[in-house]
Amino acid sequence: MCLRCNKLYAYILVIFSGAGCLISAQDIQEYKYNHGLHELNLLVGLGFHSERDQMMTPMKYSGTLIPLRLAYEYLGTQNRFGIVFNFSSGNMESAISNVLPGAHEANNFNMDASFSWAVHITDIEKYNSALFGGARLASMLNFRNYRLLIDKKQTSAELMTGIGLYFRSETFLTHDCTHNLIAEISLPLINYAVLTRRFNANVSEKFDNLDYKENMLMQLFANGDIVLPDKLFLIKAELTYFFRLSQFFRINVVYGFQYYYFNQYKSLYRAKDINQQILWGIVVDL
Amino acid sequence: MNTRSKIILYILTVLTFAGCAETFLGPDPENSPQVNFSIFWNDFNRNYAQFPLKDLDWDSVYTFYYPEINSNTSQSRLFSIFREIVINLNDMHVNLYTPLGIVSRNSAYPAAYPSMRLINSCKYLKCGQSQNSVMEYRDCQNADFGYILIPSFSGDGDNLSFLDRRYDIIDNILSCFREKKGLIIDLRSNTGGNVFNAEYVAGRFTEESIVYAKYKEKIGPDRNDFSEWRVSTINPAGSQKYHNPIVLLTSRSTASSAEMFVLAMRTLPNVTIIGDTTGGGVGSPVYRELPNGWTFRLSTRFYSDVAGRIIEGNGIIPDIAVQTTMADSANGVDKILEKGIEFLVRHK
Repeated sequence: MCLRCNKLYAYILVIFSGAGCLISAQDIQEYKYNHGLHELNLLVGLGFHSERDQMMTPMKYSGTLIPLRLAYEYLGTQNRFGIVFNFSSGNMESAISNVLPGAHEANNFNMDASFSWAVHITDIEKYNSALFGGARLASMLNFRNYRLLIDKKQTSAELMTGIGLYFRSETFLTHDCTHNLIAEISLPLINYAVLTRRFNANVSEKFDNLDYKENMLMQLFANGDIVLPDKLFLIKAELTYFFRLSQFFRINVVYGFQYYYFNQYKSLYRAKDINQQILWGIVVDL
Repeated sequence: MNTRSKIILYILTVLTFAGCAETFLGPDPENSPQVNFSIFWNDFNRNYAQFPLKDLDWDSVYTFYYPEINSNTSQSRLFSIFREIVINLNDMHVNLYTPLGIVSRNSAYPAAYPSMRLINSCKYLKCGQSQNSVMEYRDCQNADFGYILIPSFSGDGDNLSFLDRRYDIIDNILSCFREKKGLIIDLRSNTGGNVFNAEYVAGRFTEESIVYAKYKEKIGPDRNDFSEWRVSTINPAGSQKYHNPIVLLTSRSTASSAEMFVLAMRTLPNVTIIGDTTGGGVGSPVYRELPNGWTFRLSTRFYSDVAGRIIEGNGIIPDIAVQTTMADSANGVDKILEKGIEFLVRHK
């Protein structure tokens, strides 16, 4: 594992222990500042998407996507409830994209929606942090059109809806609550997923009875499987920094990281996907 | 730790994640002649469906070629090796695409092959009739009969549908031709496309769902990892049906999805196939690529007709075998079309 990844684990530990958020202990109740608050958050930014879909190609495809996010959150006395819609789209290239102009490229479209709910677990008074735990229900589509030749497209997509664990820590970085930091992590434990690779190979039992005159993606979604983390492993983590501008407005910066992999075709091939986003947004406190 | 330090820590955390893509996904395979050959060979070994139909020991391909490949092997030599392999597989759907050239199996028909063409069309057909980008349709000079040319079944749909709606024109055509005593559908130059389009058009000619072909496909990495026999079916489609005699014109160029169309149509009692044996390649191909940027294609299925006769490499034998010779072509005679019209005259 690379040196940077070792550091990464250290950072995660720091953030979730609250050690990075040290202020005086008497401020621990400050998180209640958010009681009964509804907030809307609109964000745009940059996404960095990398994928190695071995069923499609041995090469890694990467590209910059343009994400757009709309989020709503309710910050209750002892709970948190959030809804997030996220879209991103862009092109991906591989190390061989320069061999033939217009070939060895992929269009990528991502869409996800999540509903999270968490209750207050504990405070870490020493670090002025509050920890919440609960569940997240999330649906995701990762759709790709590979052009391995200029005029030939091969479609690949994952559709998955999963429910699993969700944790978040909220930390006030300053006494006046101008700066605060939220770290979130979710880990689906069970997914309903469509993990087909190509419409015309190795998955025909998923396609034979479909009405090809209609939207195939929606029909395929009805033909998914229940899969556990041994088949599909996904982890999603986010760090959000908030800065208060006024009583009703804040700005925020989000770094999001999502990684998943799954086995396919009798475990011969594996698809791995990393989607990272840096988003800037404005929060309206209602 | 002050606020500035915490923000710096946040930024460092972000940068750390951002640099780890390769750690999570792993490195690309090396672009060396050995690795390119190994991926090429292994992809066929795992995915290619038609080894059981070939008199070819795939292991021997590896043991024969691999020892001569090393880091100094030139791209042109590697291309020559791959070309030999592709040609020996003799599969219409096995191809290699490189900056050095495109490799396909040796053509099943000679370079001069007039059987695949409509010749001297105005001698047999009234000119100036309607067409769209996927079909051309005309009255025959004998106005009792209609003629439809389908040069391809290519095209994908919108909104994630696999069906190209341009093929809806078949409803208009059949409406125009509903009084015709016979119909000729010319597939001689149709090398295939999207099988869903082919089945969609064929559905206009049946009142019931009909199984018209069977196939086995690779479902695992071992060479014998095949599905059980699965079936392909046409279903009734469209409001306008046509039940008078139909002649399909075929040639060696009629291939892939066009062969699926022929298989589907020949299950119908009013359809007669006239022309040359079809190309013999259905196979459901997929594309793969190599670290040197070359792309290749391979078949992941093999098909038979409902009676169990393998189509791959054999083609579909017409009910009435006719070829247009070079002499016919030079004299402006379309022997296959003439035979089709003659057949309809006798059976109208």
